[in-house]
Amino acid sequence: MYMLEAKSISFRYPGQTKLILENISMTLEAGQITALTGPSGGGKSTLAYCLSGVIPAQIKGEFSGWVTHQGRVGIVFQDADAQVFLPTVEDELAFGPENLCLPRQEIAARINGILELLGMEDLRLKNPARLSGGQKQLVALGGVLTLAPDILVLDETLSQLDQITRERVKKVLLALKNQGRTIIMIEHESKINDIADQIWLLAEGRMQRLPSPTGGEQS
Amino acid sequence: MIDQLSLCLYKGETTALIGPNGAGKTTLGKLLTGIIKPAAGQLLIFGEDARSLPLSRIGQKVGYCFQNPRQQLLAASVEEEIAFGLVYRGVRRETIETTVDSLLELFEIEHLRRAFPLNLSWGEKRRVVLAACLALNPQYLVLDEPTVGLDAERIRTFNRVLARLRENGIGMLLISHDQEFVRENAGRILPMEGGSIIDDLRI
Amino acid sequence: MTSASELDPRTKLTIIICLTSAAVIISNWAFLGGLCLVSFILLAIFGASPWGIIKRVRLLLYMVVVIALMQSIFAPSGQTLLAFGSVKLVTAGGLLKGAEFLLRMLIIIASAGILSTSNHREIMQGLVQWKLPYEIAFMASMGIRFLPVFAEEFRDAVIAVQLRGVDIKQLPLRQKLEVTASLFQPVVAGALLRSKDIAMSIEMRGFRAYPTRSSYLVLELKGYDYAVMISAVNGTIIMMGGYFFIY
Repeated sequence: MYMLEAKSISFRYPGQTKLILENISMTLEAGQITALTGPSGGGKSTLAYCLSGVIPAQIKGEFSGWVTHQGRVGIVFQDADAQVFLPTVEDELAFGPENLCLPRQEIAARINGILELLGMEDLRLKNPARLSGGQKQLVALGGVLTLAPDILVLDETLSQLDQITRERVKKVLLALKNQGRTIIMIEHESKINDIADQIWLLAEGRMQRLPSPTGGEQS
Repeated sequence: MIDQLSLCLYKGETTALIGPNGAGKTTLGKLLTGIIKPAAGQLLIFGEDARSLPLSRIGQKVGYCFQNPRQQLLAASVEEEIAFGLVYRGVRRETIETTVDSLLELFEIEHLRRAFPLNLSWGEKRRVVLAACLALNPQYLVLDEPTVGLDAERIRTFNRVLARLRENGIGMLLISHDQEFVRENAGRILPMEGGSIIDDLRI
Repeated sequence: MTSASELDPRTKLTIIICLTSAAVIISNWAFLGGLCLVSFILLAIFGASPWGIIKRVRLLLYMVVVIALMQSIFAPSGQTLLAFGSVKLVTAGGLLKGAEFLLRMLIIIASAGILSTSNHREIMQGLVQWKLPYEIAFMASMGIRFLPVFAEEFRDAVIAVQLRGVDIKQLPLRQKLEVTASLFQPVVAGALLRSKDIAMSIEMRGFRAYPTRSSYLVLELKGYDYAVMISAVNGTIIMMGGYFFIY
């Protein structure tokens, strides 16, 4: 049973002549970490939007193909400034669960859990807008993790974090994977070789599976 | 945030500022360029007291690239963005065109010449900002996380550009998490933590 | 003793509703002057610096002063103080009207300052607990959240221009206007793009997934909140009574 299945996705932004994504198909299974790499401007973020439903729901363009998924999708965008807008980190983490009408105790438990997991306890009452770039990114990640998504899409999240925080987040991702969640990360290969189960290369609108770093099957 | 920090950066040298998130690297970078003013202490940029220098004068000698490229984009198209500083400094049109063309080629963004910069991807915005910065022939560069959003191939191109700048005697301050990038480019490494520089390493 | 800034945002909202309603209804410069003084004293009690607020809105204040002067010129009444030929430029009545306008704006600015001592999440929660629909409260709180951001982005754009080695003051007039216009462009475009981005982000975090939502933050009115609110309303009623009695 696939957690996420994408079939024949093509997309063209309005006003563009070229397709930025051409006939892309992929499947993601539960308990799997997938890396998506490729040249800048090559459509990786666009694909992330298609897989998470942002395209076609919120971004206009010519979209064809279909995407199905089991469970909830959470996406952490590349620009942290575009995702954190509440006055404290605690408010940011509470936002998602509040939207899901979760009871207060549950929200409190999730906030405490994520703060601890990401090592952000001392940032609880700080204003996210005043934090450093990497800290903001961590808050953005926390805000999505409190939703407990089944499928997590991360757009260049790790590259803005320092080494120690990066390792910490990788541990969190491995824990999520072991819980049966699916993670797709847009990153440069070198950073996630050690945790990715499969690596895909997106270039010129086409996908290609790269040899798996953990010794898995070649496509 | 930064207390009693003393530092000397040399003109022709490439220095890297590294450290965990929140250590104060960006703040220090902005202080050193005169973007934010120190509460106390003295700052000399190319020998002149920064407090009496208008930022535009500093900008003529020091190129600064923000961590978020969006903060620096001003124009309606990529080519206007790169040409911006030159146009208002009275540079000849032919020179501007040549400079813009060569930078578009160097950063592989010719196909984005007429694109609206704020609509581009992070990596593309980053390249536009770098090009706009280099168009002004700065004598010293401060780059805050320049490799975020760039893939390996583009980082290699960028390293070649930086190497060429070093050959021409241009010094730079690189604020970066990317250890490989720092190793490749820096001759001096300053680790920072909690608002202070904790070491001064030469490699 | 609780610090005034810790008062429930609804208490602060009550105070500023009293202040601004009175400011709109009253049209006597002496009363308005007194009310203005009261607003700024309250502002200081709430821990905001009156001078700081004035500094931050000084561009707005210049505009207000200009409008007040124009009002005094275009709505002349009473004794003429300054004339240009047969055109009455400055009149006593006109000046008073201008002064009233300025005082009203100052009261509104002080009220905004009082409200700013609570963060926008708390203000939104106050409105929601007052049964305002969530979407409207959210929009209001977003406005509060992002107004300072536009000011900041404008400053960023000015810095970005200077970092390109361009000294706006030294440019010839036409270029000066061009560059100034180009400063607004990233702010406006940035605002539009940012609202698009934030909309994307909040939708992906379940915004309006259900007709209602729960809230982690819950506000509770305490005894002193009620005391302050009742005093504010009573004080306003008494003052208005006095005003209508005299005039």
